[in-house]
Amino acid sequence: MNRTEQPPLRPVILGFLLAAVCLVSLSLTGILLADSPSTPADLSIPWLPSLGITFSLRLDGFSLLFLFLISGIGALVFAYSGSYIRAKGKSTSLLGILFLFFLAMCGLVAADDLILLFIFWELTSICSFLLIGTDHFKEEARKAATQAFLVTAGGGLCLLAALLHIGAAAGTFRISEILEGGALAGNLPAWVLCAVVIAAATKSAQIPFHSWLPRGMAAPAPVSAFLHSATMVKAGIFLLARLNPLFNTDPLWSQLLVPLGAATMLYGAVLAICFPDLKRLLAYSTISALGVLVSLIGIGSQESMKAALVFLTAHSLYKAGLFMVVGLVEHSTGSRDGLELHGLYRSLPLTCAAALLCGLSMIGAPPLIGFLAKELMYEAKIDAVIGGAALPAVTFLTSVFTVAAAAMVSFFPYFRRKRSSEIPVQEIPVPLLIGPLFLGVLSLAIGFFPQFVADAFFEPALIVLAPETTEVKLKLWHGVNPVLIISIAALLLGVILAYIRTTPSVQKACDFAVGALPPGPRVFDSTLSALLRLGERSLSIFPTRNRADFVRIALVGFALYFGLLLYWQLPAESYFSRLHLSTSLDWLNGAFLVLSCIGALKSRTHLAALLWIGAAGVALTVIFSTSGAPDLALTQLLVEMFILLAFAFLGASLLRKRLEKQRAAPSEYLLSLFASGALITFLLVTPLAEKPTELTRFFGERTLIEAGGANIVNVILVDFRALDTMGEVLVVIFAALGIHWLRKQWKEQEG
Amino acid sequence: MNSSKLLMTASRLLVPVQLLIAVWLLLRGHNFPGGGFIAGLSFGAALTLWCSERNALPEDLSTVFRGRFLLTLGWLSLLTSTLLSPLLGGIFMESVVLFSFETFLFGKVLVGSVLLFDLGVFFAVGGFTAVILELRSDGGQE
Repeated sequence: MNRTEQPPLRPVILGFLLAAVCLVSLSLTGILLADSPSTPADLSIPWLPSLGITFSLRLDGFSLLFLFLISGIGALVFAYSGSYIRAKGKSTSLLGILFLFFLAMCGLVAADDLILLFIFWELTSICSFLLIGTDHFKEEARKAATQAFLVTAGGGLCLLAALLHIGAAAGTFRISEILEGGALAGNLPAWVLCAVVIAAATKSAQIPFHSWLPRGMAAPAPVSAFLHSATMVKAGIFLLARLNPLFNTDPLWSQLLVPLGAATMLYGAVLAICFPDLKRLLAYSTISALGVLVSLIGIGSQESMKAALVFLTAHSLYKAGLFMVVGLVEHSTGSRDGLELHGLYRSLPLTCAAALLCGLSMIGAPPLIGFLAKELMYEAKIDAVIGGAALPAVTFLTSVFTVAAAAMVSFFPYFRRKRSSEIPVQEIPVPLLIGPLFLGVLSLAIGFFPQFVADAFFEPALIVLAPETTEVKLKLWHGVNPVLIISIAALLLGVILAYIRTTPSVQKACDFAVGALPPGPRVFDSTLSALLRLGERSLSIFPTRNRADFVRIALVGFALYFGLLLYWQLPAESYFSRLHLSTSLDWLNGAFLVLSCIGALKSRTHLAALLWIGAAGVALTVIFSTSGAPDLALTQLLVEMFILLAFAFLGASLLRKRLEKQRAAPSEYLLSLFASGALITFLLVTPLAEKPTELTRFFGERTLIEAGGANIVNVILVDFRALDTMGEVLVVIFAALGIHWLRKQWKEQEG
Repeated sequence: MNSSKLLMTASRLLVPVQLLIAVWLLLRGHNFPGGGFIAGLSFGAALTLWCSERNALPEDLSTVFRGRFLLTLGWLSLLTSTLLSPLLGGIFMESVVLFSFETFLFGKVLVGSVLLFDLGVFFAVGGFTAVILELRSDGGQE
């Protein structure tokens, strides 16, 4: 192994391999799009037929557009992150989690089953948690990851409730069938609509759930580029657009979405320029863009859907590019302060070119794709039924601030002059430049062939979202119309705003705003810690002194709970008469059992207590084997052996220690023991004395015929009730793996 | 560690026998008393006995007996057993029998999802024991 100064090449190779996988997916998507855009590809495998849940995927035009974006940007991100990991010395496992995320995201947009959609939705949240927490040795990264996860997973729970209701109301979980009939449209209760909106708002960082996204910028640059700008945060938009036909007849839908989106887009755009930290700036500008998309879907006309599709594509391209660029600049100069950096165009010419192209698309300058998107957006907002003049006004203000933000991220660091000396830069490896440059050039290229892109991508997607669509026209030049004048005005005002932003007094005001305004993370942190404190307090109401006290409290609680339950549903007849301790062996065993229990209570050392308890276990084994349960007997015997061995192995010194004196009054213990003992006796007697139930007969009849095994206990465990067993075993496995990793980390820390 | 000669000698004999018993319990479990869990317990007991006498790690007995490896084997077997049926065109978690053969010691052995499931439980229990044994021998060596 070559272990000199050169970092290993492995992540780079792996990155390119994963990028190749994405390219395969990209070309397959392209073939499907070119082949038959109108007839969706279907795949359905029965999964849990008894619940009507299938593993079904469906690729219609809308899914394909998303898949194309995910695969394309994924390929660039993987190519970028391999070199990024190498340059930054991060762990290669980052690539693995990123790929898992890629798969989850593909699954999310392709899912045709509500439950499957939910599973992929949660999987993306989990990946986001792991990826934000890449630098988990930093406290801020851990906190950011926790907040992102709790917020998005909380939204996920709302989504689950809504999806289950939709599935139950429709009688099927297949999304295509639910949407096709249109029977459900407008017939769903308002809470389902609200739950879907909350789920989308948490995932797509809408006010007031937005603050996890800027905080999530603790993640490495490729993660921010892929998850937190181009794909994952768009999952909420995807959900809204997908379920739009179910809700758009309800006026509440647009009454919720349009103000939500409008407030978010203005808030995000204004806050964006307050942050000199370029990553934060981009995060807030992403929030703003997501607000634009939410409001466009809320308007719900065919025109606005078209605008949403084009805007979404444009934003994914330029924002992913800008995130990558900021990562490069940070790597190269060690800073990502937009007002501190200056004059980089000479030392980083290619990075500067990529930043400029993406920035021009962001401000919507012709002929880039951003221009097309912005014109369509304005048209849709002006024509919107809802909101009157307020909506275009808010959009106009948002554009002004967006232009200023774009100037701060893609103009200032490169072209501003300062008196201070030139910034020392580190060379940027060429593979890192591929991604941002390609995205910038693509943004430009689409502007030259708008109709081709519209035919290939936007038309099939729009037909899904707005079935009345016949064809999608996309052109660069609309003539001199109000929209063009508005956007030129926004551009000019934005440039002026950016210039003002650099003056010292405004900088001071912005610094003050940054310190005071966004209270999201603080509110979240204090709420979380208050909850944790509440948990601790609630524990302290029990007067616990040691483990024995805990056991006592548990026993009393158990006896009370089941005692009350039994009291309300007392069986009609007494079962005690049916108790049969018939044979003398039973009596002998019972006596032995009682004796060994007394022995355990009386013993003075751990070893003696352990042996007495073992003796009780043997007595139980005999009872099991004489009453026709050889499996239980065998298990009981082995467990007893195992416990003894484990104690002998783990605590040789512990065993010789004397048992500590109990401090509580004996009456307390007697009471709890008596109560729980009496209850357990009663519980045991009740079902044991009953005649063979239906279940017994069911298993007796089917075990051999259906499962092909003669051992009923085993067949129940591994076949009829395999899901329960599997859950238990997986808990054991993951607990053990957790112990293993903790031990490994501990060992590494020790040296 | 003070280990007695008697137990040391006995364990040399006992451990292989215990391992054989584990396999026996595992294979006959579907038709007679036995099954993955108690086979795993027997396996774990064998590992514990062997390690405690020599103050060693399970992997010293065989490199296969590393905790992480056994656990991974465990969840992979479980996963495969659930996916066997869908792969053959059936339903998730349905029981599938690939083939079966008659044996003298174990009765009729069915090779399929159920055996894989039992194997998963077996490896999980054994792997858990191995992880605990590894944990303890860390402290011992310091």
